[in-house]
Amino acid sequence: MGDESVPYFLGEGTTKTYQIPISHLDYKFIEKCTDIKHLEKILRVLRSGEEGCYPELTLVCEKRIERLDPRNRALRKDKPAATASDFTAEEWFDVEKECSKIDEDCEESNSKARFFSRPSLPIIEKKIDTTGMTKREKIFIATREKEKGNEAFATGDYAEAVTYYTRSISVIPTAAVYNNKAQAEIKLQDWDNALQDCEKVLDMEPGNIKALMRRATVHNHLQNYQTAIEDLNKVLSVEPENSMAKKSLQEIEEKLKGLKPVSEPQAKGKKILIEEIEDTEGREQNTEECERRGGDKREQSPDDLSILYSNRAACYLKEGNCSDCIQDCNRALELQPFSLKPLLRRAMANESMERYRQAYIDYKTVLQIDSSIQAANDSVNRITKTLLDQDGPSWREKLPPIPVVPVAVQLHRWDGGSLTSEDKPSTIDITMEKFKRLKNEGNDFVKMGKYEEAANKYSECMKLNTEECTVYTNRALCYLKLYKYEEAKRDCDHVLQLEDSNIKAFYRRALAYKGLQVRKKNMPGILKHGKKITIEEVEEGQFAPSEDAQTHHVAAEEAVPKAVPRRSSQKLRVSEPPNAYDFGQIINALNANKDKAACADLLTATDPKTLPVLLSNKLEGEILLIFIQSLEHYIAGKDPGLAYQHLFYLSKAERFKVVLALLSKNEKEEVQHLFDLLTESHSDQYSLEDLESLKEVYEL
Amino acid sequence: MSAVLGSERPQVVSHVQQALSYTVFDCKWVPRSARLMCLGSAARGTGVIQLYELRGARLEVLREIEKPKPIKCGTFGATSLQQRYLATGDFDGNLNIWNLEAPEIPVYSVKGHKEIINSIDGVGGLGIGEGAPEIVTGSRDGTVKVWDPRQNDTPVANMEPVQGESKRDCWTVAFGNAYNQEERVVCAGYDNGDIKLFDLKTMSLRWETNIKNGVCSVEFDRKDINMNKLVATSLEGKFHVFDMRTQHPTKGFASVSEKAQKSTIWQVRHLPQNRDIFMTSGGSGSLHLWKYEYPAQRSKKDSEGSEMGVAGSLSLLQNVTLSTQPISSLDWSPDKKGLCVCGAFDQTVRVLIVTKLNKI
Repeated sequence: MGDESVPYFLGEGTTKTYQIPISHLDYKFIEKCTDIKHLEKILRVLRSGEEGCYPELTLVCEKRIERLDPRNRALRKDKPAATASDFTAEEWFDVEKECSKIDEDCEESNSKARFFSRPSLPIIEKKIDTTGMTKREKIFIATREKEKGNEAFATGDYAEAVTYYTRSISVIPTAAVYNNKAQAEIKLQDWDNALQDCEKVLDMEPGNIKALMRRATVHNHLQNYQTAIEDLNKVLSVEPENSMAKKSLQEIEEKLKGLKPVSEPQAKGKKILIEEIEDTEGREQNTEECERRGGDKREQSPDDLSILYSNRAACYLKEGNCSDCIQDCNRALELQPFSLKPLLRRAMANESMERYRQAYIDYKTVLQIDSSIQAANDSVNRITKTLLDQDGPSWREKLPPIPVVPVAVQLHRWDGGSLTSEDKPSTIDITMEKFKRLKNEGNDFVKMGKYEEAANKYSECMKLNTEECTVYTNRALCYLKLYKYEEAKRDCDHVLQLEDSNIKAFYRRALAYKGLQVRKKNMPGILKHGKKITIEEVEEGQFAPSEDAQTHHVAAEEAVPKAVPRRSSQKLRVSEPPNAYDFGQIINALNANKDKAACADLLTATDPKTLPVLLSNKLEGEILLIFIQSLEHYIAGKDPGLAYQHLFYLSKAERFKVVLALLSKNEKEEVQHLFDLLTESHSDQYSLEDLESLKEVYEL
Repeated sequence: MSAVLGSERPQVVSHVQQALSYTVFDCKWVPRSARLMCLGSAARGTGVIQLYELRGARLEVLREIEKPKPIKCGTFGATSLQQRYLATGDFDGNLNIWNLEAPEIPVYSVKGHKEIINSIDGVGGLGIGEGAPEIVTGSRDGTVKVWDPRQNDTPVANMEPVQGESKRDCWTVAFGNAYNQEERVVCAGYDNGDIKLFDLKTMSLRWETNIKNGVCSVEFDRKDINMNKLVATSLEGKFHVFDMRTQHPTKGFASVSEKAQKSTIWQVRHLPQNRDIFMTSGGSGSLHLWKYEYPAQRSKKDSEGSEMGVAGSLSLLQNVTLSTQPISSLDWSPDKKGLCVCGAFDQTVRVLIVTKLNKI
């Protein structure tokens, strides 16, 4: 119990060896002591048993030493070999398993050691002479060389590792060794060989995660970001939680963002074009949703999957995310080679990213499949010029080879695989093609709200084929929009002659009659199918997305009522739109109808401050005008303050100046009129000075 | 014990124990098989070669051969994988090569040394090591001789002390650096603590050092690579690991030493499938499994600008005590990772399984 500074207290002795005061053989002392040497001595004394046997105290002392110095030699104890009884049943089983797979592939461990290759590398034969060797010998030697490679890799001798891997491969080529070799070559920054080896692995084992990861690394360093992203996505589709892949993907995408924006505006005109050609899905869902839809793609068949990828690619293209777009197109094309839309989208994305050669190839491929696509023809001409400027007259030599499209595929068109696959298109097919094209163009016009042109296209269609009801119903729709009720009725009648239960025709004829104020006449017809109509409406709402995804040419027809707001549902219900996309959709719809009242509702519901955000860069003359008009007619009278606010924030929107400059005289007058109104009605939200300065902004 | 079991550390499992009727000096796996050789000395003073086969949890004798002289050591290192001839050194200084299918007369025999051959090693066979097959023997007569089994009677190299210098008992020999047709070194350890490295290409002494205590066992981590590491064990329970990649003009090779136990370390054997893991066997019947960890930089420049090596560190992966008597021989199976055989002076041979070697 004595203090250690007072040694040899009466009655206390010391130990025989080391002369440690007996008081030190005590729990408290050991717990506090930090002198390892001293503790070791205590432990030795305790273990020797010369002062008596204290197993507990010995344990405490050992623990104390372990805490202070976990690798202390004094802690090493003699241990018997493990036997089955030392293991639980599970662990023992594990041991057996361990033994059974004892010679299984041991993957190289990433080394921490980094050092530079020595100047004088020993000369080691790259090949092993295997003449006269049995298969087992070869396996033994190949394995051994691989192990040597792994070890060299682990110590950072990458050049040596490559040599040994090469030797192993010279005996028996295996994917695992190629894979390891690729990794060593990556460390040596020998990108070309690494790429080759990764590809060999993937030839042997398509979908090898490590090889994909490594190829992505190589592509990343070779600045083939697209291919790198592609590989990483393949990895993520198998291992969604792979954090390495996620990280590198993010890095590469960030790099890409730094490269991209320069070329984007150039591609814009054309981008709109393609979106109008077929992207019905974009109309009812915002792109994010669309991506999500693409996200749960695993249960789908390859065809569906391909379409989903293609659709998501369209979304990405719209967002301006060209890299993802290309990637999705690549996937879609993997699943469905030579399908038109992904090719076209990839071409556009490539063009946007100024990768003209790839874009050119894709456009050319598209034209092989369908030479009538105007967008592709235009783009090819444009790119030809660019490439001519860039590479001179021999620009063609620098192009990668253009894939030859099989004849069977050349006939497959927008409609997926619904067409005949005869070797030579007959005249009937050609007319069919033309008919479809015209019809599609018509549909597109409908979507753009150009009903007159659409009606013309449909009429042309009818010259080719009078049997096709959809064209008539579509034209009827156009006529309805154009308030040509008589013509609409005629078309519906025609359809009903061919198909006496065509619901759309009934419905549209009803609308036409409604327009003609002879509603009653069609009542029996519509009642008969009344129930069905409601069902159909629901169906349109619910299933349209999947239909779109599968067959666009049918979907275009279905989509018409949706692309334009549903007139049938009377007045548009307007609530505050959550995002720019929805806002844009509503505005387009309102604009198509010139529905100023609804627009006024929309503006009332919208916080003026969010207006610039919601409009983003979509402000057009027509939109400005409808805003001005609805403010003038509906809002200025009731709430001049709100009208002022809207005008104020409208001027903050993108493209405002441009749009303003393009306003016609009449339209300017409308604006002037609105301002006059506001000047007359006073509000505490703005002063006359405010109004004057705003007027200046509006160039009045 | 349970705490250790739960961890990821390798376990040493004593799979089979086989009591022998003679003193075992060496045991060796027969390449590409589940068979092993035990070499030793019978009580009546004759040599014994036993061939065992591992059948489940039993060792079964396939063949027992008796020879006039006790056999100290053996190797398969210089034979082809097809032939698998066993080369042995006996108490009388004879080097014999046996065809185990017809063991009556040796396929090669030479009276190589005046006294007992303590140690033997082979290279160039089994697909390990480039160049010609060669056998090296180290003897109590103080010489180290290299033999080509295709050449009768005379050694291809003879390393002996110069006239007038006292003869030291050579306890251990090992081949290394056989990464191409020309390069090859022999390392020898002596009873006075000397370690000598002979370069067979230039026929010169490349390096020597003294580790103060008798050198019981030396081994390169691999024979068939540009020499990388050398482990030397000593009488007093210490062993040294030399980094053989960088040789400093005056300081030689950098090394790290570790004391495993108080008693002699009889043997060191590297895991054939991973050169950085090795096992030492001790005089107290214990086995220690070690791992060498490389430093971040394996070499650095000294003040005069010449390269010098930097030694790494050692960590003990596992230790077990199997016997009360020294474990004199140890051999890893070249085919099954983790399979190991050891012979001890308690006249027992044990087959061990070391688990979790993949996870290190």
